[in-house]
Amino acid sequence: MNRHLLPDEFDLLVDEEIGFGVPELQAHVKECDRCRVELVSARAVMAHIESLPHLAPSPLFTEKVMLRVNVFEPWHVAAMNTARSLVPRHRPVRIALGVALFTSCFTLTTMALWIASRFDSAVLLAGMVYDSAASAALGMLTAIMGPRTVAALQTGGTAMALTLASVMGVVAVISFFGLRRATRVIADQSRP
Amino acid sequence: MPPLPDLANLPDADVVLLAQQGRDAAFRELLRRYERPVFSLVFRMVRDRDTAEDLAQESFIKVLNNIDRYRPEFKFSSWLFKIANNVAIDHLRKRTVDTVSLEGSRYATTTAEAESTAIPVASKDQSALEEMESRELGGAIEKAVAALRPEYRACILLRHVEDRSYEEIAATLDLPLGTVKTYIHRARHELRKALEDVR
Repeated sequence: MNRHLLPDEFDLLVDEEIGFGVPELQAHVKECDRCRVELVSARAVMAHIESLPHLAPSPLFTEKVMLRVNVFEPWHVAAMNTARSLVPRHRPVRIALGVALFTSCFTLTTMALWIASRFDSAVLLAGMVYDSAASAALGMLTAIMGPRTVAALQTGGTAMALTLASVMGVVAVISFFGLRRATRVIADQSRP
Repeated sequence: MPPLPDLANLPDADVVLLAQQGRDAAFRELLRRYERPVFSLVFRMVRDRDTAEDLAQESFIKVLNNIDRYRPEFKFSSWLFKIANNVAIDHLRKRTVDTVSLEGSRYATTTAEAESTAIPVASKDQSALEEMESRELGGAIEKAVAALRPEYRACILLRHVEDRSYEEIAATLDLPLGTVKTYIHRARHELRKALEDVR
């Protein structure tokens, strides 16, 4: 190299780059006093800058910042933590719970599949359950209201059923408010 | 809540992840790691302790309150320095800046006041003479850095105090790589000129 180093070339050497062309620059610096002096000077300045210490803020810096930082737990993290808290800590209990859960899920799935594959049987079963529930309800109504009222209801149709339901609703509301009022009066009287 | 791992040994990305999960200790760990670098950068940009403290706090509050927006493909420290630098530059644009000594505020009227506003630096074992020389040289370097243009100052501080690569500085300051190289080259040149008499 028959010239002195350019500013960019000094930067390459100061940054201790090892790329293409750098060995030639290093060789030149070894031979050229002027460039060597300049490089030593540049390195010394950078060494001084690098020796600048980190400065410390006031001791209350962290607390002042934390006072104004909103630390909150996102819902999905809270949900995960809740789920984790439900898992037993002891390994044998965890295993037993896992086995029980797996068995329950397996049984339920099998039952669901069985019912789906026999839809007609399911419909028949549902009909039988419905008939049993209807006759039980009718028996209960007959016992409460008497066979005549029930017969009238059955012949009166929807209008009669609605009237009866409305009357029962009004009675239920009056009973609710009456009970509440009675509770309050008792509470007031028992107060010192 | 599951127990926290040893935060001091975790990389930044993992600590940020814990902060995103609402762990108070993770926020404090990030503050512990970066309070000094960020405060130093901001102080050397604005040259006033109280202002630097306020701006450093503002930077951390901005970053930590938006921690859920942090994208892990970037370095957390680059994001933090970017915010801190922007905050400092915004401040510099709003007002002209005074120079302040490391020994304390120039507005201090008593020795106690000066001591209370002095910047504590990491102490090293030095003899009185070495300490005096070091202070003299350190003061000259601080003055020389303070005399640089803010853009040059940010680049040179990130390069030589925070040991960042050119690419990281470009990403942090939102500048083209070539511009960063030019700024650093000019800053070095100005620093060499300014420190010629001291060395």
